Amino acid sequence: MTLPVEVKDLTIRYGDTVAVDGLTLGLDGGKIYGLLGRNGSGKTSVLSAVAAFRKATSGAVLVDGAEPFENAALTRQICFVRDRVDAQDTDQVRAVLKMSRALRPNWDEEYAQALIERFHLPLKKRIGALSRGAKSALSVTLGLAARAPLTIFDEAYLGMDAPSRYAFYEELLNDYIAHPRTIIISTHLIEEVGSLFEEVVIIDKGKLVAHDETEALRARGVAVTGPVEAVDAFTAGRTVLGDQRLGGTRSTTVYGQLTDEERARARDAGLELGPVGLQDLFVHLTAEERR
Amino acid sequence: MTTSTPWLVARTQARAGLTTVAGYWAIMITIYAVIITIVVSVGDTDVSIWATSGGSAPKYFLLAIGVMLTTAYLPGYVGNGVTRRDYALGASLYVLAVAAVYAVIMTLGFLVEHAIYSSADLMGGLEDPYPVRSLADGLGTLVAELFVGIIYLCCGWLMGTCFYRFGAWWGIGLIPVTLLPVVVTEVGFDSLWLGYGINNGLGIERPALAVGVLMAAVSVAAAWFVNFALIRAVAIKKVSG
Repeated sequence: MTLPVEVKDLTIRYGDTVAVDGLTLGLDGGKIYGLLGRNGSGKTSVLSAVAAFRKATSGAVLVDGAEPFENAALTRQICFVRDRVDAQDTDQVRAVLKMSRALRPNWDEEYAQALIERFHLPLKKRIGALSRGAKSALSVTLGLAARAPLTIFDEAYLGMDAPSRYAFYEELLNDYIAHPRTIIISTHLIEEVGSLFEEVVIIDKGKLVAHDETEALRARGVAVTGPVEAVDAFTAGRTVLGDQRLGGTRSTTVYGQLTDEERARARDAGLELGPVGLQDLFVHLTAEERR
Repeated sequence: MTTSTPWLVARTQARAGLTTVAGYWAIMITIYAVIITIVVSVGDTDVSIWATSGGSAPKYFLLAIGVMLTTAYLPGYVGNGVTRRDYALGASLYVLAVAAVYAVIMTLGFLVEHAIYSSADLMGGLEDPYPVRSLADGLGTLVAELFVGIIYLCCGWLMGTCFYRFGAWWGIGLIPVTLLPVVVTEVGFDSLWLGYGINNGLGIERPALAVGVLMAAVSVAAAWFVNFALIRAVAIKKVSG
């Protein structure tokens, strides 16, 4: 079972601050989405509304065609995992897991045990005594083992070290293939997790900046690699997103698609063309001067 | 058969919270046992030690338990897919259970102390008649303590919800309002010490049990419904570091 999400003209205000500003967005069910945005861009507010953690100031959020807020049939099918565990510092890890086991209708205890072992979760420790990494590991364990048809990870794994994060990506992908569901991942580690996304949503200042399939988004720019002089000549006058140089070789990422003629000219000049990195594109689309 | 969510919440909450309740009563009863042993050894007292000690500390404990219901526990349940409505209903069942434990222990405490005072010949030294002297007194105490337990839990819960929803300053400012149902209930049952103090100060006779029950029922309903309305739309904040 997977759940589609529809956000219609959503606005969320905190006093005078507008966190989400008339956002409209449609996510089909059964895909992994990346939600990208700078700090304070409104990502968590949008996800909180989708997960029924807060009400919208105006507009609507529909999950599987219905409002999720205080909708018991939907909320039990939504798992919103934040960067902090929704438990008290005095709670033991095993008590937190026990609570999810009792309340989550699709909870897979066998899988939870496997994740506990893989992430070396100390069951007897209290939440307050856990390292940041262990807290994140507990968060992702709760999110994965819940097997909710709509699962949302809001920077849930930021505290984990690199090997643990890669273990999480592997578990996420394998479990998604075995048990398809709608997954939304909000993250700042774009390059690291970008290959998992089927579609990417970029928001800035509470507004939608881009929503496209990952490959289509990456095709909005080109990475031009080759001899320094040839790259410089080819990219002159274009919007440069990023630039790297090693000896006589330069790789410059430019925004905008190339015509067939331009591609042929690049090949004739001995240049290699590749897709733009998601992170470069994200930085460009949310750059200060565009705000 | 699938278990209803409020019932599931009540069961989960009981597993999580009743250990704390049991721990509190174990400490309370141990302290009482030490005091009563000293009193019996000395052979002189003019008050019910159980009424004196039970008149305040357990109520503050219930208030604290109530405060935690929204501030500490609600986010964990909503985070596990429970609606605020189902949580409120389930937590209300838990409130009833904790209040029932309080009422039963308080009533049994009087029965045990009555037996101790009688056997140690301490009844003659009391300034006021012993609070529980018959089955009717015992049943009246049970009913009154049940309502007192519920109102302290409900008002603590409402107080916590106000802090959670409106922030610390508004929460502090609203404390007198959130405690108003406690005052009304205490006055209705002439409870130690708040109700007894107000009634004594104003020269009011102890109201009949039926009047006390009516005042308490209205107070509980008011506190519960306001709390329920506030919880239904509350946004969930992050809870652990």
